[in-house]
Amino acid sequence: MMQRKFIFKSRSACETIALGVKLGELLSPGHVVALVGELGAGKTTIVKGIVQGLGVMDRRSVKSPTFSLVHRYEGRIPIYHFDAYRLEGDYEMIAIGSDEMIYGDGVSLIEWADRVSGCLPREYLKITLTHVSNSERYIELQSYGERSTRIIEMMHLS
Amino acid sequence: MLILGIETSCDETSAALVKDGEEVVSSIILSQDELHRQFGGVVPDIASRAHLESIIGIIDNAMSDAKISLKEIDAIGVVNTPGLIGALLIGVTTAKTLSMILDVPLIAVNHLHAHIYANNLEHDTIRYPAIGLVVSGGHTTIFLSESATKHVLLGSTIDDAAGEAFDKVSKILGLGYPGGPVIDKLAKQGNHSAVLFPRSYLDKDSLDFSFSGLKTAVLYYYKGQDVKTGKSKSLSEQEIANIAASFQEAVIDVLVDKTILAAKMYNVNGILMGGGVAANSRLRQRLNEKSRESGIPLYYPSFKLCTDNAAMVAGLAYKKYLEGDISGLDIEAIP
Repeated sequence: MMQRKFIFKSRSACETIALGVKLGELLSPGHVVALVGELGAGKTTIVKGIVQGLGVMDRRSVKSPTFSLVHRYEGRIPIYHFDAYRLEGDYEMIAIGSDEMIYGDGVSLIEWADRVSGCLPREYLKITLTHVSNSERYIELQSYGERSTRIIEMMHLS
Repeated sequence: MLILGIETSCDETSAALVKDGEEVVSSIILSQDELHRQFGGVVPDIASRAHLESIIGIIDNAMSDAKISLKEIDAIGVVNTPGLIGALLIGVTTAKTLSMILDVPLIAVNHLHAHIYANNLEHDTIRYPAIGLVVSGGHTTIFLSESATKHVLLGSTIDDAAGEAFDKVSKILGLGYPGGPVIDKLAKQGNHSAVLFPRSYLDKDSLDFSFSGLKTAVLYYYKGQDVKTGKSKSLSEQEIANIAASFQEAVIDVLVDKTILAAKMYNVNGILMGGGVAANSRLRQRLNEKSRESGIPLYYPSFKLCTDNAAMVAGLAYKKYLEGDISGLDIEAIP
């Protein structure tokens, strides 16, 4: 399967959001973004950017879905923002109706995707966030499949 | 007037019977713990399936506890927003079905407004307008409550809820779940000014909250530069208690300051606090002190009415019924 990487060192939450905006502008229906990283790594922060890039201008509307498990936002296409932090595994992810959303007409952004890896489609984009210091993060985008590889190529170009 | 309340917006399946919006006749709450005991295995606490399996039994229990038959119910109140869609649907569909079979009115209730109403079940001196503060695992929201049924949103969290911050910090410190009660207890043995964690006030006069940065600050303090390797500093029990107390104080400072700010901005006659975090003893103490200084009476429910329950739903449904705010069978669950 086609794979490509894009690595970015973010010096602040603002830079992380800006990267997210750029990515969000490139996403289209059916794209799945798997977010991986420890507590406080910036998963929800980059999602704020991605959602903005998808046309939701009020960043405040993006909140952590840890408790409610999934949020839906109306951008230029529907956005499903999942959080698997409290889920015990694939079965519970399916129980909240993830398949309908992931294979639906919008973009799915899945925090703690490594906890529900069995629910990911064959093709997706994985973002790994790693702590460097209090404000700095390494952000690695890795594509799985053709569609997300094209996204990474466009990220390299922009 | 006897109202059956149904609440399935998140992890708890609950049914209650409340008379005239104030007398709790019976209240049954099935939490995750009981599910585990009852079924002897891991149950997906969040899945709508868990609600589906238990809702009928829970309603039965509420009826038999009260020694009342379904025919004696005058109306049904149900939470239809906000919450987990699949979970809400179970309660809403059950309530619609019962309303149709029994031919009684159906009243849709907002979960957050119900948390504020929990106070009215135990206090009869509440005067409006008031500030309604709902703090829980999923919500941190300030309302201007013009009456028991009318609430204007003034602010809410822009990232993590306060209760979520407690849970995640508890996880970082290796203290277990749920984080609220654990940190509350441990903080009593700690020094709350040992570590100066950041307080996020956002813009001046903003009534929104942000707790995500605080969580990260605790992580960095706890793990130091070893955060990359995932190793933890070896800290003494006293030091952990100090971190817990200092974290809790940072959350509470912001909650208290913004609540009092809102109370003064809108010149209210009371503060009504609800939600799971309203059970926190330090928050109660600090908000009590500040509200007394400001001469604004503070109300919060007893512990059993702080967490999700259907009694608050049945209570608020009564008030809405009196105002003629009755829903049709076409109400929807809105996440």
